[in-house]
Amino acid sequence: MSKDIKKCVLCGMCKGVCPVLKILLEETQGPRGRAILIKNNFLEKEAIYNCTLCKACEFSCPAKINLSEIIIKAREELVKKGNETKANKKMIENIRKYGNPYGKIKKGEIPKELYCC
Amino acid sequence: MNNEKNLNEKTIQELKKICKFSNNKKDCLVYSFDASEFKGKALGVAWPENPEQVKKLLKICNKYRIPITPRGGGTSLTGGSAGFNSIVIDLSKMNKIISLNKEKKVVIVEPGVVLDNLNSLLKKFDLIFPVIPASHKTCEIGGMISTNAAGERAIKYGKTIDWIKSLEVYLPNGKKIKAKNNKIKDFAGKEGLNGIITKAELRLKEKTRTRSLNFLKFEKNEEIIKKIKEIIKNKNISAIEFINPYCAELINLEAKNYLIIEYESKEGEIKSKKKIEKIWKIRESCGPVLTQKGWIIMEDPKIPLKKMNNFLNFLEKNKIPCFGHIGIGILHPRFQLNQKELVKKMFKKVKKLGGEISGEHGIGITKKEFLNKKMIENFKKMKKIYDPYNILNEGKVI
Repeated sequence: MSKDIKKCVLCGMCKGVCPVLKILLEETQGPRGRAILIKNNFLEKEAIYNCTLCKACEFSCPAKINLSEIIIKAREELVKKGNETKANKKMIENIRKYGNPYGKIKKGEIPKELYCC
Repeated sequence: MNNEKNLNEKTIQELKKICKFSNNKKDCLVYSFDASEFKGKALGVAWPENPEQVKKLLKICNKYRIPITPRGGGTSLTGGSAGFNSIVIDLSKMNKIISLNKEKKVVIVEPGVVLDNLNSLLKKFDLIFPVIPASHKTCEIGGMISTNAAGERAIKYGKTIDWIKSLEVYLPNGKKIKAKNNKIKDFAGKEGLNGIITKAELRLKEKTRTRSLNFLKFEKNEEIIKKIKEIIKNKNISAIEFINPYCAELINLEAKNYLIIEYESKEGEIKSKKKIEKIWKIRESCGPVLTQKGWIIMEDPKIPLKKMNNFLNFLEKNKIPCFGHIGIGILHPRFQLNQKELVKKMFKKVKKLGGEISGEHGIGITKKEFLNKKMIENFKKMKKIYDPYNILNEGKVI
């Protein structure tokens, strides 16, 4: 676990600016929820992967925690253990195979599925 | 005391039929916390989207005697919104601004509306909900009502309760009541112990156009009290904020006592909008900077003005950094995590001085041990009327 996350006092100042939380309105899907999961060594893929890494939470954090870096590290951990999301696996597979995250598509064609984190 | 409880599969299925409900590990873990240091244990989380779903959730929990923790923005500093062997009812999805009457300056909102979202809408109509606590970016109206939140301008605008016209509340038996006049106080400031607020009719005011400030420095504590006594009856004053020398040093000011006096008139010496904003930023930086520097625990005692000098001397003697709304007697002394004994010592002092242990954050769970018998009896009397099976916030406050 990152040392930085230990500085998080769960004040919740990050909640008001998170674009994901604004839509989903569930604490688990917001920055403080992710911080709680990481602090408690519970890397849950859905919550970790639905962060947009926009860093809005970092600007409102009184403890100046780089949550996006911590999220990236958490994703690395999940990948190492093979626990990343299916979409992430597919995206990497497509990039390796076709050089793009969408899979086999012809020039000008709209991808049928968008694989991204 | 609240005992270990578990939900059985039948109850889980019944709850899932009402609204989104989860009892998975991640949601239970996250909802076992709020902005306090307290860690509870959520048995599950429900996200109702309308009053009817709240009613159904309450009825089922009342039937099976399952404790409920109502929750808004989860910014409680006392463990009030953390699950505690209970189902957390997160009201954040009930976030509609139902109606606005610009002429009468009245708005009807659901409990999950975030204060800043409400005020950014009201700004377009030159209106404001003037009770603004420090957590305004994330706190929700339901939580503000339940804790009777105050804020920097409470000296002029009072607390949340002063702006409530009526409340729609669901009781544990599923009965809906409309609380008006004297009944409002049975729910406002009662930390969700008596019912769940599903609608609030709030009074508003026109936005203030004129502001000015005085930013004063003092050597001695008694000089501050003398100044406050001099100005406190001035109706144009909208805030009297305080920073003590230990706090001042931590935010890189000279180690002195400071008062920020805000006027909604031109009486203050500082009139430039930019300078006013700069000074407020200094005051608002106190909380975040102290947190960063390890002064994590924040309390909110309320001290009578005539005893304030004594309390300020206590803070000085114990080198406790402090800031707060001195105009209304509410201060925010800060402590490090290893100073819990000093926190207890401070509460003893507060009681001795005839003060209140919580001026605006509520009792929750972290301040239960400091509550006096009379307050406990009052809470218990109301519990008998509204929540005889004690399912709402069981184990909290009383």
